[in-house]
Amino acid sequence: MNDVNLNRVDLHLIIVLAGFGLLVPLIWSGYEIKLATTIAVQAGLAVALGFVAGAGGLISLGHAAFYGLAAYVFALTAPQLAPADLLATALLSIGGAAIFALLVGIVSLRARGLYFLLMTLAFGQLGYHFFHDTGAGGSADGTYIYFRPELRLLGITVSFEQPYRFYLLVYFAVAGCAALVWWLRRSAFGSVLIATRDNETRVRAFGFSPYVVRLVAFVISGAMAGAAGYLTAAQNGFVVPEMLGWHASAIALVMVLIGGKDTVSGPIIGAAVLLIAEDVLQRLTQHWLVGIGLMIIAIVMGAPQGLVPLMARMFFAGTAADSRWQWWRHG
Amino acid sequence: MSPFFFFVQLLNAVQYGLILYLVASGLTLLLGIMNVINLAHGAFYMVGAYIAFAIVEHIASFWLALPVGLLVGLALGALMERYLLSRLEGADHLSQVLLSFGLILLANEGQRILFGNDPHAVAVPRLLDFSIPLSDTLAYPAYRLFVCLVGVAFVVAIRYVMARTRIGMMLRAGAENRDMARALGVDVGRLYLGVTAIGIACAVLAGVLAAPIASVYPGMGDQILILSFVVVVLGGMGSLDGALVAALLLGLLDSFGKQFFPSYAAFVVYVAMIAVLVVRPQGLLRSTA
Repeated sequence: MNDVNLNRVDLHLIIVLAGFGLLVPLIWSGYEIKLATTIAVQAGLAVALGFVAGAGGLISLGHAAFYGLAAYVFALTAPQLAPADLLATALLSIGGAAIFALLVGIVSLRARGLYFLLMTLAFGQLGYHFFHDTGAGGSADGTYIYFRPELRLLGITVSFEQPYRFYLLVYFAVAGCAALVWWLRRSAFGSVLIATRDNETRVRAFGFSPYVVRLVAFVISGAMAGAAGYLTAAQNGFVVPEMLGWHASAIALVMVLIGGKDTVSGPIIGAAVLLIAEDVLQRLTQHWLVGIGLMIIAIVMGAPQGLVPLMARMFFAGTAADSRWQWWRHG
Repeated sequence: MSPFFFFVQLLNAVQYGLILYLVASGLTLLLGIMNVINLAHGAFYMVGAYIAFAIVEHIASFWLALPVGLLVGLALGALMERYLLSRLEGADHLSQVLLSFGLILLANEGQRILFGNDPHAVAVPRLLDFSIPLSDTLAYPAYRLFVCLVGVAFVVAIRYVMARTRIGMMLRAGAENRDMARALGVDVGRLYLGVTAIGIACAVLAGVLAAPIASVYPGMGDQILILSFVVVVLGGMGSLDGALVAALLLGLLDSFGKQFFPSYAAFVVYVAMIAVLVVRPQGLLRSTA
């Protein structure tokens, strides 16, 4: 499997997904729109995590902390009796998540590999217990948000109470995140980040600080996770401490791996596969988690690089051997 | 706080710490020797607890649960290594996280299918169903004392195996330098099989032992899993002695912290974990990394 083919499949998948995403509100309504919104939001979280896990090689088991913290910031700053201002509260929530990611990153990025994973796990649990044990934000029961935020810009007010409008808001937010990650991975910064993953010593020899590069990537990722958390809180109308716990972080990692961490479309497809499988299995049986568990194990064992690299390999099967004769296939 | 009450709390701390050590020792061996992160370790603890519940409730006495738990644990561990972990060798920690998360989902849902959502109490074995009076008002349950004794016996046994036997030597060599151990002729595949089987049997046995004290309930493995990770980190990955000290410390924190600062007990645990990871990533006991 070479990178050229993988990149090409990735780009095609993103275009298809983006086009399909725009068609969703035209084809469906009601329940399907809600499901599509959930998928899109979770895809945003997965894209954020996939960026640091894939390009940075930083396996974080605490990303839900940024997601959940942003949700709580929104829940605690939104007015009780009127819709909140979208831009103001979103900036506040995402900023809060970014600052927390900066603090976690400053400490955790001193460690590598398993130590980093366990450090982020500890920070995530710290966040969970902060909201669960101390009474902040309604303790174990969480807090309600009674209105979705509305966009107030240039004297125009746009409400997002209608599902399809909220879906479009989420769609553009997540598309923005995915585009940002796509661009970052191909930027000079992204090249250095990928290089810190592959050979830290050389990066240092070139005069970069791997620590700073990783920290910047981690904060960007944390901010995007925060955006997903903000939108989740706005969609559901409530926040609970479990949004920060390690189960939520592990599920985000599951999405990233199902699709493939080395692509941008991978985490999106991972989120879609997981949530659609959940939805279908839930109709069939109350013990749907068995199916999800088996699916995860099958994918880890059968396609450890994820579904998108698997698709790329199937699509380009056989071309590697006789690629000399198929020069037109290479861009 | 009266001296007797203090003594009771101290015994509780030791008993809880030893259960935690039983779970964490397997986790630390897997991490230290095989570099495997097993999120499903808590799920195996739950399996043990439900084995105790099923046997006491439906089949026979509690004493049968101990050998059954041991065998089931060894079998599950060997199967997991043979068919899942060994095929992931060379893959990154992400795959291990996901594999073990998939196993957690299977275990949790399997538990729900077989036993439902309600918590259940497990009867203390009749032989030990009495209390030892300490003062006019305080008594200590004999079963908890029995758990302490089993824990101490386990500590002695594992220290003996690690320090004095050939297997222990190979384990220490594997934890120190895996490639060198392999180069010196240690059959690493068999070693891994043994470590996984024993490590998971320890978690299952801990669940069996804890069942009459803690009762059994869905998702009971989650709490102990995260605390075991804290123990592993505080003790230093792969260090059994470090894990013992850390487990007893967490036991003390659990019984006294919940008395004096209930809202912040969990906080102290995770702040300690982060602090150790930053300042002494090799663990509390070891002098060098």
